Amino acid sequence: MNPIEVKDLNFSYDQHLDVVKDVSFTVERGSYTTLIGHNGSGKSTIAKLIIGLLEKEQGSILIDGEELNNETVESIRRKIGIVFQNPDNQFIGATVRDDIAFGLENHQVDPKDMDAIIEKYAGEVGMIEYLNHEPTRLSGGQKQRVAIAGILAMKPEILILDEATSMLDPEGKEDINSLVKQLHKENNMTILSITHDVEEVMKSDHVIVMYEGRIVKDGLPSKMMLNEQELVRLKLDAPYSVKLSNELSKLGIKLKNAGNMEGMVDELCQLLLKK
Amino acid sequence: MNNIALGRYLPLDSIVHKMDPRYKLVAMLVLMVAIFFPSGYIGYAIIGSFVLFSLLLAKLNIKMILRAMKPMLFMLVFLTFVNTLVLRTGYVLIDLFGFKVYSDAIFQTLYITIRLLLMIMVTTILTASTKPLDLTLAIEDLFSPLKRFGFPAHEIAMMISIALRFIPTLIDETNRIMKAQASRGVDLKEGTFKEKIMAILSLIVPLFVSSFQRAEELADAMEARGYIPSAKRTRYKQLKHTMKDWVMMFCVICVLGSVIWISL
Amino acid sequence: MPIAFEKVNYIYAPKTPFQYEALKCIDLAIELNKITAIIGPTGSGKSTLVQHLNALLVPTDGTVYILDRELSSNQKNKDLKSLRQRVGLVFQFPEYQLFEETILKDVMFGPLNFKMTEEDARQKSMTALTMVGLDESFYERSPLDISGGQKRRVAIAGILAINPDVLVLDEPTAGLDPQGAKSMMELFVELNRKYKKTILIVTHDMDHVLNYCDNVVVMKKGEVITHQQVNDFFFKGDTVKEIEMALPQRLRVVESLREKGFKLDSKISNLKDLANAIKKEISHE
Repeated sequence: MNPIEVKDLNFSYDQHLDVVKDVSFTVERGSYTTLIGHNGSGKSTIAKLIIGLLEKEQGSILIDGEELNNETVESIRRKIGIVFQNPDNQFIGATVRDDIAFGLENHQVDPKDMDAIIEKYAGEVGMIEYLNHEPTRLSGGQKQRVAIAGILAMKPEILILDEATSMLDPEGKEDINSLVKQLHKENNMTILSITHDVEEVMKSDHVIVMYEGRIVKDGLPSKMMLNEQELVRLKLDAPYSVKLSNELSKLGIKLKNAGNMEGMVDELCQLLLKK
Repeated sequence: MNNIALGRYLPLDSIVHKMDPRYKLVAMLVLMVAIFFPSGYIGYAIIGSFVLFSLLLAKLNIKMILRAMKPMLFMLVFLTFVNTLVLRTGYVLIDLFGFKVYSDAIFQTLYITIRLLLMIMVTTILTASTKPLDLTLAIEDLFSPLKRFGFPAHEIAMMISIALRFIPTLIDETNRIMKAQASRGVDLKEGTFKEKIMAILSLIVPLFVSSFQRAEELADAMEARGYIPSAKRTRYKQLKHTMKDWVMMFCVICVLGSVIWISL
Repeated sequence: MPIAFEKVNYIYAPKTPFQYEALKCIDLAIELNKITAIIGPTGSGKSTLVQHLNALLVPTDGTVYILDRELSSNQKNKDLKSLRQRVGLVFQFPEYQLFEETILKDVMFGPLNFKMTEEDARQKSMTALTMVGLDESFYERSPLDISGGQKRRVAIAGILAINPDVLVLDEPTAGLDPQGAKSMMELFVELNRKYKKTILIVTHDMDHVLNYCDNVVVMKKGEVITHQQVNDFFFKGDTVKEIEMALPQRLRVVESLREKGFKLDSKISNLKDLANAIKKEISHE
């Protein structure tokens, strides 16, 4: 059973922006899947549909084999945690401690147990020293860490990141990316990351590319992200390694590892030694 | 700490700060009732000494409160003026070329001033020693018996606490929009009436738009984390009362009792 | 007179417990008619620095010289409006400052505040909208119903319509997708080359610094650590490594190839040259 299975999903807003047309895809258990597309391609809409913040028009969404509908939405939300884009607008509590407690209160955890849970997950995201800090005294990256701690405390199986790093500075981005990577590896969480960052895509297990509401590519990043012209047509940027290998192939140097910078550097190195 | 506004929380370490906000809130209400009893100067002396004692316990500065009273000075002057004109009972205190100032006028004013001062002191002790959020929790707890009759105690408390959480964020936002519009030539000090209206609109409309967006995103985030307004939830912050809260309650009731006794 | 900072200090909320020294003794001269990047970690004082340029902030100590104006705390700084007409400042996420019913009206708001005639304002606004790549079909639409990237363009047009000589932008590409960011940066290059605007850009993106900017100012903890030409900054000396910021992609590739024994000149200005240099190495030409 796959954690996320989406079939023939359709959705349109009253306005014209961000529609979703005939979208079908599967996210495998324990995978790090990235969803990429230009602004307004419908990728964030998909995240909201999956956790039932928006109601689909047609199609089906299965989470762990359970069909999402009005009856199941509450139990499905327990399985999925989502980190949104704006760090400020998802910080609910007055302090870090209160914010992590918010989800626990919703799940009717006994207040006596909360402190231990809060401290455990604040520790896991490296925010234990900031438990009594107010949000105004935290950086964007720190607020996103707190958001992640709040989600982890509810023990979901799936973590969705909806452009969670796009408003952060490079330091905050790096911070959150490495935290997510660690959660993926150590806790074996299924990750669905909605992103603009091609370099993050290249490091993921699976990429889904969206363009104007439809899925146009779905598969291994090292295979899907190689055609530079096509990516530009989809209003995306090609990974730097792909750009370089394209330039090199024009000069007659064909490389196997175009999608992976380290692999490409090694390959070039072997060529250098061979001659 | 030059410009402490009235009603602001001061993070000090005192016994009053550690008291249960529910008891503090009730105590404040009881003292307010006591202040409204016409108990004369002896009554006010009792209330006053209790309030001063609490002020000391809370490690608050009397000067600070007096300074906060400054804006009310004008009102008091005005009150004195009206009272001297209107109240013509008691004995004559001053006779200025036939214009007589009666004793009751002065005493009435003094009376009102003392009441006002006491009321401000009582509320300041509460707000300065209690975090706004704890006050919200206290309100929620005190009103929770009314839940049975459909009174949305929890929802109101949640709304207040979110409003409190977003005040600093919105202040930052307002500053930013003001600066952005100043860069587009907005000048709130100069200009015609029409230009001023436009200037205000250029501030308010963006503030509304972004607040609505924030509200929407916040609602999404809350819902995604399993919040359902009408559903049962537990509460992390449990308010606990201890011996000191009972002692305070006892003292406050004694104050009220003696005031009532005096005014009978 | 160029743009210069002379021993500028700026303190937020002075003489309170919240006192915070955001700028410490800044000495800096910005070249006119160039694109200057201002980089540095969050909280290094970049935003505070640029707000001095159109006198939204006045130095606590020291003097700021902007064009023919002089700003310091010990003199009355009158008529700041005329300065703001010549130095346009675009804030971070400027799409949140739009408020008018139509896009054209919103862009005209600035020019009208600066006492241009209605006709002149309309003309300037149309030109500005063309500059940012929005055609007539947008004029009568509401600024609230267009995409995020387009909103940002409208907001930038709102400053361009004032026709400032100096354009200052605080993280103009934050939150845009890569293509949106690229065309935004290309717009600034065009404004600089074609319309001779002096441009300052606060950014976190080192690739943008390398690819689009002439000069770079690096800030850290309220101080200017270095101010150099972009080429010198990346290719001469070690400042770029000392500041602990991620290198642009091209330089990272060059670095890792050099570590593996490639003899590459670090001063390779584009992708094509890099490919050529690699080929040269491999085929031992």
